[in-house]
Amino acid sequence: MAEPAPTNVPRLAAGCRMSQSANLGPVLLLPESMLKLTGPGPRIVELCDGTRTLAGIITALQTEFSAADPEMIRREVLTFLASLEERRALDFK
Amino acid sequence: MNFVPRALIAEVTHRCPLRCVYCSNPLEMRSRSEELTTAEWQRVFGEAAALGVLQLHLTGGEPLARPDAEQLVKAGRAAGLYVNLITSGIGLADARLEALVAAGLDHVQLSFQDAEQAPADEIAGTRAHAAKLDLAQRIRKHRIAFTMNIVVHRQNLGRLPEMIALAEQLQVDKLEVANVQYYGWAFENRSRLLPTREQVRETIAIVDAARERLKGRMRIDCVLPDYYARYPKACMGGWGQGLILIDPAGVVLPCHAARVIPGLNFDDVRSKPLRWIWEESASFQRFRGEDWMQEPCRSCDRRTRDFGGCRCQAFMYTGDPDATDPVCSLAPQRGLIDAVIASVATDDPKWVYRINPANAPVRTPVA
Repeated sequence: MAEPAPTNVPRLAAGCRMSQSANLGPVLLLPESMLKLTGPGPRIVELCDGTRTLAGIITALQTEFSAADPEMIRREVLTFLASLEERRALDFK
Repeated sequence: MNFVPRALIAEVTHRCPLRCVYCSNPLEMRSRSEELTTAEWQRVFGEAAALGVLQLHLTGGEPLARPDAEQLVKAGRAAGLYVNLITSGIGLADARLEALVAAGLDHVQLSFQDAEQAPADEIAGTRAHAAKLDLAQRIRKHRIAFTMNIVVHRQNLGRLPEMIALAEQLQVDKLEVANVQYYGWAFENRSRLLPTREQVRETIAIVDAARERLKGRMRIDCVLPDYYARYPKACMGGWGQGLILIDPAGVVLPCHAARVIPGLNFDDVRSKPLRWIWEESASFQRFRGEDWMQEPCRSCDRRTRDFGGCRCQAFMYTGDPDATDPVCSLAPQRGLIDAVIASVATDDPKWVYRINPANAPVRTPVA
């Protein structure tokens, strides 16, 4: 798996989508499994709509969470998206 | 304790165009006239979602044998569920595939019997392989998740590298290498299906290498035969702890095989609410928690991880559903499994093919 470039556009893979569970809260439904999303997770997934670049997503989150360290946000987003890609829940274009 | 079911396996029919020798359906199958109606399934999907179920697996038999399969997909989505179709794919024309996708199908899991046509068709008891190859290419044109499932056993494990190559060629998202689980029809054919210890070792090595090579492109799930394990599988994640299976007639079960255990009365969704069956019924309570356990399970550190293993397997081998799963190396009756393993490759009877519930219920070995 190659490191994504800032100009790459991430979007949820086919057959992966967000949902709300009554007792778990936001979840990402995947083929035969699911991920409970916590903290900024749901917002990050929401931004992976196939129109925004990776750099654009990071900038948007850094603006929304302006109290947090921007570099920490960047690293967290990259780690989170890499974990989704490894589960085949995310594609980079 | 408060258990929440996360997945519903809906066996919407036992009818199937294939006759696979390892079918997980029970030996006594439901006829078409017993099957739940579209409206009944629709209500049940809503009840399941209200209980916390997130994933719906439409299976059978062959779920596409029902003319209302598209409506069932739609009903699952309307209930807020993730809809997976587990199918042989036989007879699935483009127009119907498009209708299923339009109805909201999230994931299709297509079964293969082998990488080669002749042995594949022998296992299926009919000509099916070529149609599956054609369908796989048509599925890939749609934006849905696509899993290829191959059931593996002693007769086809030698072609595991070719199966992985086929999955790559068909560009599936996920490959499931599923060793036969010895229940239902597979139990009848176990002496011919059970792999050797050497084959199991090779499987692990081949799958590990393929996983590394295909990382980020294709996932590979691998289920090993528990007969060769040191400890039992956490069957279904524990009896009545996270999964519900409903058979074609609406009978609610904690797993595919539970009807083999005598003395349990399984309730059905026509006469009882699903919530009551899950929370209150005697059959779902029977092996929850640890009170039922015997030694060595009762004092074992692993009891919260594997729940004593499979209750059906315990009954099938020992006659006692409360016994430790005999595959466990700590089980007093482990010798029963070792005897089966020792008979591998010496015993070569003919296949017992699955019958179709539409046919007369006669179990005759077929060449």
